[in-house]
Amino acid sequence: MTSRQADVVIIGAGSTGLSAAYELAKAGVDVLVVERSFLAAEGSGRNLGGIRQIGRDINEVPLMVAAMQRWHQLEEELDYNIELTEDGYLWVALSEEELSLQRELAKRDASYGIKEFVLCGNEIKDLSPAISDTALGALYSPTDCIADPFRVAKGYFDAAQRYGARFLFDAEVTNLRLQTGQIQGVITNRGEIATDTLIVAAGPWSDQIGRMAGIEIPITPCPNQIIVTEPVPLILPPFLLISSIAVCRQSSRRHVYIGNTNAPGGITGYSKKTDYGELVRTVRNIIKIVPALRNLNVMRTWAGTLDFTPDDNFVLSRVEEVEGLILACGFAGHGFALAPIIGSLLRELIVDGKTSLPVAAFQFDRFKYGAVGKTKHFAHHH
Amino acid sequence: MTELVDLVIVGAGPAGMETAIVAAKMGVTVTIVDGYLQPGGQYYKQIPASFHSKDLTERHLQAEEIFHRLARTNVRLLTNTTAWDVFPDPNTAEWIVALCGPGAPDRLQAKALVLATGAYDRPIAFPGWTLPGVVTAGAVQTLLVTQRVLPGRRFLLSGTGPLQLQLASQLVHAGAEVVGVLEGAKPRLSYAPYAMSMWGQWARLREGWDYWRTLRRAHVPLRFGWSVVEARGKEEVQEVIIAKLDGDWQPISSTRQAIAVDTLAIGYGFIPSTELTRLLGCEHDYFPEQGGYVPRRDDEMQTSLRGVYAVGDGAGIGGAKLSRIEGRIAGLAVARQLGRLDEKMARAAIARQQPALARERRFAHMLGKLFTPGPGLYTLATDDTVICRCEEVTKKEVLGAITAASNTVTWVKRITRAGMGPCQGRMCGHLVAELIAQQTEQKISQISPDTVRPPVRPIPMGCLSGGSK
Amino acid sequence: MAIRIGKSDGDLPAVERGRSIIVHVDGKPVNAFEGETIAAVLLAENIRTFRHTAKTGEPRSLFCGIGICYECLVTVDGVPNTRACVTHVTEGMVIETYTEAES
Repeated sequence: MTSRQADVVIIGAGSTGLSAAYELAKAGVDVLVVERSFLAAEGSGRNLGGIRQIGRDINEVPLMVAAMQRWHQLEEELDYNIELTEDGYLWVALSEEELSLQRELAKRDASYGIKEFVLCGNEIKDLSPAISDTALGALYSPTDCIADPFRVAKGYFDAAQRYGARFLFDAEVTNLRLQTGQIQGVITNRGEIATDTLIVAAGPWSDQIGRMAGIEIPITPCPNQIIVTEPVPLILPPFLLISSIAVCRQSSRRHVYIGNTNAPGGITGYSKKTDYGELVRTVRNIIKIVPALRNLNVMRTWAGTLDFTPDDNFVLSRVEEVEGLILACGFAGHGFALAPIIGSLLRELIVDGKTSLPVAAFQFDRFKYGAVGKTKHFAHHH
Repeated sequence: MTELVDLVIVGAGPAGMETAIVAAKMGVTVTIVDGYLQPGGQYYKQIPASFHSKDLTERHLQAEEIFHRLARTNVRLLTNTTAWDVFPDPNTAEWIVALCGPGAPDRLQAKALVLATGAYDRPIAFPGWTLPGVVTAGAVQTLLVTQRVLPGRRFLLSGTGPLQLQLASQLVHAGAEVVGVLEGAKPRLSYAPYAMSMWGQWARLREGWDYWRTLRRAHVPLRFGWSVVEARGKEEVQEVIIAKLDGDWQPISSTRQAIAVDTLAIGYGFIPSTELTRLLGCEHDYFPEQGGYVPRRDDEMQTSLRGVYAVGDGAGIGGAKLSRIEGRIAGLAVARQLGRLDEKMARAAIARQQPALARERRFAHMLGKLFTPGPGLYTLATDDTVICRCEEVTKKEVLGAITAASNTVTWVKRITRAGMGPCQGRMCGHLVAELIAQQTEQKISQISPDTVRPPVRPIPMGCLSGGSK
Repeated sequence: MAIRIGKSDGDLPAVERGRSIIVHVDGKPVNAFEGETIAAVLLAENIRTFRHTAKTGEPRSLFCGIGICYECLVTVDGVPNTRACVTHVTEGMVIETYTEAES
């Protein structure tokens, strides 16, 4: 057992933790990341790499606009090929209500400088001939992107290390050291680290860390399923988003990826292996929208766990009751796309004491006052 | 739609068929699932139903006999069917097997599972190994035996183990020119103690003698301690470079020679198909002489999971004879587990198999010790050599992803895509593991294989919709 | 280069092949026998390269021969990624050896 010390300790080497480690180390902060497993072992490595501006809750939009600017610079900044491509997103409308909602959102997002187009049936076919007539229309966002989640993790990891960030892998946090409501250290099965500032970026396991600090972070773990096919000639250029059914995209290497959209109300728990019943449900739903998928061979499936809060919005804030404790969790699948900006905001919170973008909607104390209203995420996941 | 049965056997090779026959005789309801069109596995592989032949070879007669015995039971055989996922049923503690195949139910629910999934050729990567005309020994033999097609005219065989002699002899009989058989292993004095394992293996010795005689008559040179190290050609293999190997199977560069061929058959032993036992989370151990990772089993072929048995080459390379004995034992053990055979009779029947089991295991152990490729063979690939054939990932890219912190097959896959293609890592998984072991100075037995996820073989998405195929 | 074996001895007794049929390989009619795999037919026609790869354009062909390596992929009746080594020919089958489009 070794004894270590760091100015800031981050729990979790997923997108959020890695981006924060990079930002802090680059600003000269002495930072150490504690990770139970290895880089991007959970949700950050189990998503489809989608980076969308389309269909977001109003509170997330300014953050996402800022994140998108960062994504375009990231390859150069990290000096690593993250395989970023501007494939665009196509959100398919299955009802008149969904279609009118899309019209509203296109108008709203235009005021943030995001280009989105409402498409009719023929225009959808031009873009993605594989989509069936079940689609009444669609919202198309040509500037939305995709990046390779593992390459993003590796890029951040290497860059953070170059700036002096330290990493402790295979280290499970067993307890926290607290004194008079102040963080003093983190206890792991690989030794203790003394610190007065702790960022919890442990995704669906963040509530367990919270309990060690005596706070209750309301998180529901929901496993989502991913299906990957053999490589086939191009059938789906943009990233397809089918509300409450599935997401679907074809990679530059021509494999088709399908993800289901499980949320609270569906199955809960932590899982890496796919659930047979969920797979069947997902495939049945998606082949109604993209019938050609039926004949493709499935090569691989896996599951990943999303972390939902009661209002579906994430938590990015200090905790009043515990000095030195900062939460960055509850992203419910939005963590990957927002990672570059979340890392910056965490750095600002620690180095400057305030953030350059509004984060009022993401405060932890919002859960304290009972009933929390649902925010308006129009499209979920990845 | 889920159908209930007592026992599901995956794989209709020697081990699976023998298990089925024994269990069915005791009143166990059995379904065998096999991915190919015809039962038999690799050992008893058949000519297509539309071909005809008066085949009086020993192996064919054995196959006929076992097919005949199977036909007299009420075992249901689902061929052309993939068992793509296996998991415990949360309500009953029984096992669910998800299927994909014409006419097959979507799911079977079974009280016991016997996994008899066989093995496949272990590929070795060397410059040019992806060229057309470079094929596994198993591919050549399958073409000869089931199709009566010679995939070339001028062959070189390189690999290890007695099956090379059999294949060379078949090629000679089929009229091909065999320019040489390179055996990587060298006879050594330290192998003398294994000579006793040959006691009782008279049929095998006779067979070996026949192959030897055929090769001598055809003037086929047989070289011990040699291997192919490179294949060359534009659109296909035209020439191979061979070299003498040192004690670690490392080629000695001063001995390199070029030989013109049109087909190179490589046969460096076999890798057990352990996808299903790994998917289920059974305990595994690494035994190089058994082909690598194999499920840990008790004396009655049961894995670390109750009700899950593993038999045959998929549980450790041992050949058809050993597979059949293991199948018999598993069949008896399952019958007892399901209450169709009382404890005393089961114990006695299993005990009767022990002498033959011990003899075959000794023999398999000897072959494994004599003919397992040494570490030097895994250094043949150069920086530009493709390691993952599906995703075209080179050795240089694989090495670039390995550091002291990132040293798992899974991580290399995530960064380089090696193992993400349709073969699901079957061709490159062990090659990546060897590179990690070399690079990080670990033993190969310390490198865990990649995680297995369903489907264990690619299947059409239609099968996943729980409906028509 | 490859041939259908006529007579043989040893442990490869002669066979009588299935019914003679016609398949189409890259637009040309080709004689085949019922029960043959696509790989056997292509090799007997002296077609050794079954496809070229997507990334580097390398030629690929039969490798494992038992359906697990997915190297011998051809397009059959319009369906891509069909394994030539385990798929049997049928009367009138349209087989295309192909170059994968660079992505």
